[in-house]
Amino acid sequence: MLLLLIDSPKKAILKKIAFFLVLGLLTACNAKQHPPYAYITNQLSDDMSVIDTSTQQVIHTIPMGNRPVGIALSNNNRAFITNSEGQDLTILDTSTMRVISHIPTPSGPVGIATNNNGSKVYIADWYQHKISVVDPKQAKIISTIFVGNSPAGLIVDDNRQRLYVANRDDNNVMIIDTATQNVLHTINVGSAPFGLALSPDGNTLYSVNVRSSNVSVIDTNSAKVTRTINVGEWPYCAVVSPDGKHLYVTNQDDSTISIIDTVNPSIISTVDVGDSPEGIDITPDGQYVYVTNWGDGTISVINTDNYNVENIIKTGKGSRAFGQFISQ
Amino acid sequence: MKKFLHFIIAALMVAPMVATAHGPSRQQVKETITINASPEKVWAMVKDFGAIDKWHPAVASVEMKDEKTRVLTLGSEGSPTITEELQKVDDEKMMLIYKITGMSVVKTITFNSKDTPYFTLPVATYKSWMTVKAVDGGSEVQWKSKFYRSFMDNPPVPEGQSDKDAVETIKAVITSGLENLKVVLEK
Repeated sequence: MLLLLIDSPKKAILKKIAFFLVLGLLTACNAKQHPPYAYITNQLSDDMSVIDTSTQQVIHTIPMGNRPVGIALSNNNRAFITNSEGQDLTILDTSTMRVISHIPTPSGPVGIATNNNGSKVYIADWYQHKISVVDPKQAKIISTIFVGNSPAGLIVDDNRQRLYVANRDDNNVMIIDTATQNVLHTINVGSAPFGLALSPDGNTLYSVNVRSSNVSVIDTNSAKVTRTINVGEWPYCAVVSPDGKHLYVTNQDDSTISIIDTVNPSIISTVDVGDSPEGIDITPDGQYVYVTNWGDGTISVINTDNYNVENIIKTGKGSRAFGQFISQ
Repeated sequence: MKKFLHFIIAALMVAPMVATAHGPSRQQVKETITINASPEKVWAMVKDFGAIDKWHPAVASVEMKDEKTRVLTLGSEGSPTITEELQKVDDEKMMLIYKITGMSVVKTITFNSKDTPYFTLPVATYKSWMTVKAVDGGSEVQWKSKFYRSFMDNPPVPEGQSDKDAVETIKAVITSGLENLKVVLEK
């Protein structure tokens, strides 16, 4: 608006200054304060390794609670971590790398997800079969959603106001309306669904079924399983590439990653990683897949151009990172 | 008749392995030992699924139920048992994988007004890998196990049933087995 008012050619230089001033302000507001970081919960050393994905190096090691497992990131510089034995939630300010608060939770906090702006955090309770909804500002649980037995993986789809829940011991996935907190659909999948992955367009949800060693492909619009894809032994988690064309699945008991073509569903490659791969995520540019090797306390970094493991990064012990752990 | 009765009692003792929550975290124990013997010789002994009683000090006898299923008895008749199923034998990698499919109930206590069984080992969904590889001075055997504790409900956990108890028990099983495997093979 200011620019339109400045019209005179005499004020061209002023216009230029104003232009760059406004541009500068806009850039400052939208600036990524840092390249994408990977936030790795180390379950057995009770801390978190923060990795700068541009240098592939650990730049911070931050103490967590007792047995940190789940991780969720919001775009207001917050990381949310479930401490499974500590029975609490740690909130980290990722601009200062300082822990802001610990919020007590019910007895079995594992899976976790947040909406984009970080105003609501959903925590799955393994023992009490419910989701606690946390308001980080008030630093407390504001409501509870009852789900199936031993809920594990969670994903929030902000656009559709939905929460997806994998109920491990009921062999199903629930779709929950985040506005009303009602269960909209319950979909039977394979045996013991644990990790979930959502395509970027929100149309396809993948449930990783630990005991049946396969992935159920769910059409989120019809709420139906459209396909089942066999993967490796004891699969755990998965992530979809930013273009939606590939799905990467960790196979804990084979110490491999299955790479699946989602367009013509089939396994196109199997990559050896470290011992007991669990958490998996991809950099926003789709270039690198990060896999946490729980048994080794390392990360395998896979280049998606050639599926080579390009780097192995040492973390704390029991690197798990269950959730979406790479920032945008 | 007596034998049949024994069978019934044994069948009742082997509790079904129900797939439910056993604590949120899978546990792992991984131990290695170097043995002064050729990898071929070590692998031959390790892969002989029905002969673990020849080297594991805790196993008194083994009965093969079929070519892939063994029942280990940890003492004289009537002692605790473990039923294990061979999942994979890879001669090229010199690796075998097996899992526990059943265990006898040693005792049952009442905990939080619920019947709580104590199994031969305080674990569930137990899976094991044994690998032999050539190293300087002979062979290295790695024995790795992944499992959950057997107690399914949320804490508090009854005595001897915690994640820590499960890990310590399995560690003892693996370490004592590897040490005696070394003794037997180096004789």
